[in-house]
Amino acid sequence: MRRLALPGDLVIVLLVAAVAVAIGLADVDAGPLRIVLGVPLALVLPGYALTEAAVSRRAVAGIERALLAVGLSLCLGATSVLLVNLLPYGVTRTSWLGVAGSVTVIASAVAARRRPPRAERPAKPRCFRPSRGRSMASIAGGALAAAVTVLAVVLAAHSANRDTGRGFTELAMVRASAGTSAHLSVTSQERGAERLTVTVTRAGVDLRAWALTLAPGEHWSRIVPIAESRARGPVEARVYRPGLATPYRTTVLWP
Amino acid sequence: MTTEAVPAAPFGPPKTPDPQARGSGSALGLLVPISLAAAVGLLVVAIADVSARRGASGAHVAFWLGLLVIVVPVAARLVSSRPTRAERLGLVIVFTVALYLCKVVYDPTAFSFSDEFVHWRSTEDILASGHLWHFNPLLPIASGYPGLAGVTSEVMTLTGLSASAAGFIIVGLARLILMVTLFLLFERLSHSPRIAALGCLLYAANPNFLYWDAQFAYESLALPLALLVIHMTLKQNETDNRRGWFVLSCIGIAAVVSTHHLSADALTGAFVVWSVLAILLGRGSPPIAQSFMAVIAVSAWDTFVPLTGQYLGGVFSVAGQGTLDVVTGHGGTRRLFATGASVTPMWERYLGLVSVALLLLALPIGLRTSWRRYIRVPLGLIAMGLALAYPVLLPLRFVNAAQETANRTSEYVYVGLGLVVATAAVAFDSVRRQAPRRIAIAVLVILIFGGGVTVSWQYSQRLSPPAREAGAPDALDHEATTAATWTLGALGPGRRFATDLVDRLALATYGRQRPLWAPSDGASSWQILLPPRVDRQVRAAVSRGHVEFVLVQRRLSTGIPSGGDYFDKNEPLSAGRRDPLSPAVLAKFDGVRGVDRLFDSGDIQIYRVAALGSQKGAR
Repeated sequence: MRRLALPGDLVIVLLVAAVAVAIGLADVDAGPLRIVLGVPLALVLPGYALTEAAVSRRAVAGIERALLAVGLSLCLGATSVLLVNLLPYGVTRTSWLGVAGSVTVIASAVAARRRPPRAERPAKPRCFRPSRGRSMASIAGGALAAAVTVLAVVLAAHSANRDTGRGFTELAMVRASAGTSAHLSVTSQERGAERLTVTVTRAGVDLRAWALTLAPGEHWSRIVPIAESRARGPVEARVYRPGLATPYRTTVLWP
Repeated sequence: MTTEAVPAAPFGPPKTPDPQARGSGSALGLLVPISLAAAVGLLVVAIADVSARRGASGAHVAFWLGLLVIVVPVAARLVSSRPTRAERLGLVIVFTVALYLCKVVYDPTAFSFSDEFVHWRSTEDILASGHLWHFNPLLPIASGYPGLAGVTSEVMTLTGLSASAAGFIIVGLARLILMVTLFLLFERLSHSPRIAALGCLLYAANPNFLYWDAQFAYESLALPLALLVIHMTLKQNETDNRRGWFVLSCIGIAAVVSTHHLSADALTGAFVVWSVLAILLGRGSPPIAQSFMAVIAVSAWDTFVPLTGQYLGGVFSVAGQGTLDVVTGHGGTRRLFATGASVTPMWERYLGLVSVALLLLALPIGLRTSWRRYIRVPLGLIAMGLALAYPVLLPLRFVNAAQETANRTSEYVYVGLGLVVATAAVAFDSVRRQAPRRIAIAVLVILIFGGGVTVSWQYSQRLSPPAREAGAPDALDHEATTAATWTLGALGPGRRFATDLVDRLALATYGRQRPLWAPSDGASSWQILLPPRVDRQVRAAVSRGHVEFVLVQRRLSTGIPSGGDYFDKNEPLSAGRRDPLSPAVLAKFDGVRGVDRLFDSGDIQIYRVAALGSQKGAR
C-alpha cells in the first residue's frame, strides 16, 4: 500500500497555520510571537497553499512563487471580507482565523493530493554555489545593509516620538450627573513638571481651587458640583501658571 | 561568463535571448554593495526628515543626497550589460524597498498623508462594528471599496499590530508585488532583463511613485494586484494548468474590483483591448473569459455602489469643463510649481521641465523601436498606447480643474512609458562596450527620476513638517491628535463637528467623530467658521448641518495653508488669499450665551454649539 506523505513545505505551512490559529483562538498574550505567526497566516500561507493547489510547481519558480503567495493572500483578504461580513458574528478575530486557517488547510490538502509521488518528481536543478568566501562576504554585506536600514527607521521613529515641539496643557470641563456637576480634568503634555493653579468660579464667585504639580503625561480630574451655587451665569474653570495673572487655559459651561 | 536564462514567451518576436543579457562572475554581482549604498542613502533621507522636523537647515540638501545615493548606483549598474538576470531583479527589489522606506521614515509611527486617514477610518469602522459599509466622513466613496480596509483589519486582528504598522506592511508588500510583476511583464514582452529592469526604474520616475502610491490608500493595493492578475492571465496561456490559473486570476479580479474603482476600470479596459487586439492580430489567446468576468464584476459593483458613478463622473466632468474653459478662453491656466503658499526652488522647476523634455524626446525614438519589437504583441501595443497618452495628458497640467486628474493617470501611463523609454535606451546602446553612451543613458535616467520627484509632492510637504511650526498647520501635530483622542473619551464617537481641513483628519480617526462633509451634510465648515460673528448665517448652518461641536485651531490666524483652503475646497475667497484669518474670527464663539467652551489646549479649543441651532437672532 502506498504511504501517503505530506510534502515538507506543506507540513511547515500547516504547522505554522495551526500554531497561529491556536494562539489566536486561545487569546493569549503571545507578544512578538503573535506578530511573527500572524503575519504569515494573513499574508503568506493562504496564498502559498492556494498557488500550490491550483497550479503545477513546475510552472512557478522562485521569486514568482513568493509573488503569488503574498499577492494571492492579499487578494483573499480583500475578497473574503465581503463574505465574512455576511456571517452573524461579522468581521472578528475568530472569523479571520477561521478564513485564513480554512483556506490554508483545504488548499494544502488539495495541493498534497495533486503532488506527484516523490519518485516521479523532476530532479531539482543543481544551483550554482559561489565560493565560501564570497558567501560569507555577501551575507555580511547583506546583514550590514539590513542593520543600516533598521537604524534609519529607528532613528526616524525616535525623532517622530520625541520631536513633537513645544509642550502644552489640556484643560477640559464637561457636564456630569444630568448637569448638576461638572467633570473637570487637566492633562500635562509639557516637557517638564508644571505647577498649576486650577480655579472654578461662577459669576465671579469662587467655587473651588486647587494647587497642582503635574509631571509630563500626568492626568488630574475632579467632579465639581455646580448646581449648589446660588450664583447665576456660566461656570468657568481656569488654569494659571505661577506668577501670571492671565489664565493659561479657560473652559466655560452654561448650565 | 554566465548566460542568463530568458523565460519562454507565448507570443511575440523570435525567442532569441538578448545578447546584452549575458552576465559575468557571481550571479549576484554588485547587488550586495549597492544594497549597502541604498541603505546608507535611506539613512541620509531619514536624517533629512529628522532635521526638517527640528527646523534645521540643509534638510532638503540631505534629502536629495540620500535619493542620489540610492538611485545613482542602481541606475549605473542597470544600464550596464554585465549584470545577470538575478542581479537585475535583485536591484529592482532593492531600490523598491529603499524608495518605499523613504516614505516610511517620513513618520514611521503614524499615518501622515490625508488619504491615509480616509482608509484608517474605514478600517477602524470595520474593527469597531464588525461589519462593512459605514459612511466615511472623510471620503464617502472609500467605504464602498472595502478591500484595503478588510485586509488591514485582518492583519490587525491576527497580529495585534496598530493600523499604521499593518498598513505599512501591506503597502510595502504591495509595492514589491508591483515592481516584481512589472519586471516579469516587461521581461516577457521584451525578452530582455536589461530592458525590464530599466523599465522598472523609469516607472519609478512617475511623479506618484515616491509618496502618493506609497501611502496607505486603496490604489496602492489595487494597482499591484491588477498587474498581478495580468501576469496570471499570461501564465494561463503557457501552461497546462489553464483552469487553475483562471481561478487564481478570478480571485485577483474580485480583489481589484472590491478595492479601487479606477484600477478595476483600468484592468477591465486592458482585458477588453487585449482581447480585441489578440483576435485582430491572430496572436496569443485572447483573455475573453477574464474580460467577461471583469466586466460583470465591475458592472455589478458599480450597481451595488452607485456612488462610484457620481464620484468618477464628477471628477471627470470638472476636469473636462475646466479644460474646455481654458481652450475657449473662459478660464486662466494654472501656474506650474505653485500650490498655495508653497514655493518650489528654481533649480527643481528646471529639473522637472528637463525631465519632461527628456521623456518627450525619448518617446518617439522608443515608439519607433518598440513598434518593430512589439507590433504583433497585444500587450506591447497596449504599452505603446499608454506611452502615447503621456504627451496627450501633459497639457492638462496647465488646467487647474484637470491637473489632479492628469497627475493621477501617471501611475498607469508610466507602465507603458517605462517600457518604451527603456527599449529606446537599450537600443541606443550597442552590443559593443560604449562607456560614454552608457554613462549618458544613466545620467538621463537619473535626471528623469529626479524630475519626477520634483513634480511629485509639494516642496513644503516633501519632508516631515517641523514640530509646532508657526503658521497654519499643513499636517497634524501632537496637540491635534491628543485633542481628537480626548473627544472620543469625553464625548463618545460619532459626534458632528465643524472644523478645518487638517484637524478633521484627526477628529475622524483618533476621535472617531463625524466632521462635516458637504454637500450631503447640509452645511460646510466654512459657513460656520469663516464669518466674523456668530450671526444668523452661522446659526442657520449649525442647524442645517446638525452640528454639535466646533473645533477651532488658533494657528489658522498665523498663516495661510499651503493648499490655500482653510475649511473646504469650495470656501470663498481662498484663491489669491493674502492675509490669514483674523484671530477675532476664530474667537467669535467665546462669550456667546449657550456656547460651552469644553476644551482648551492653547492652540485648540472645542465648543459645544448645538444650542446655536435652536436660538434665534445674532449675538
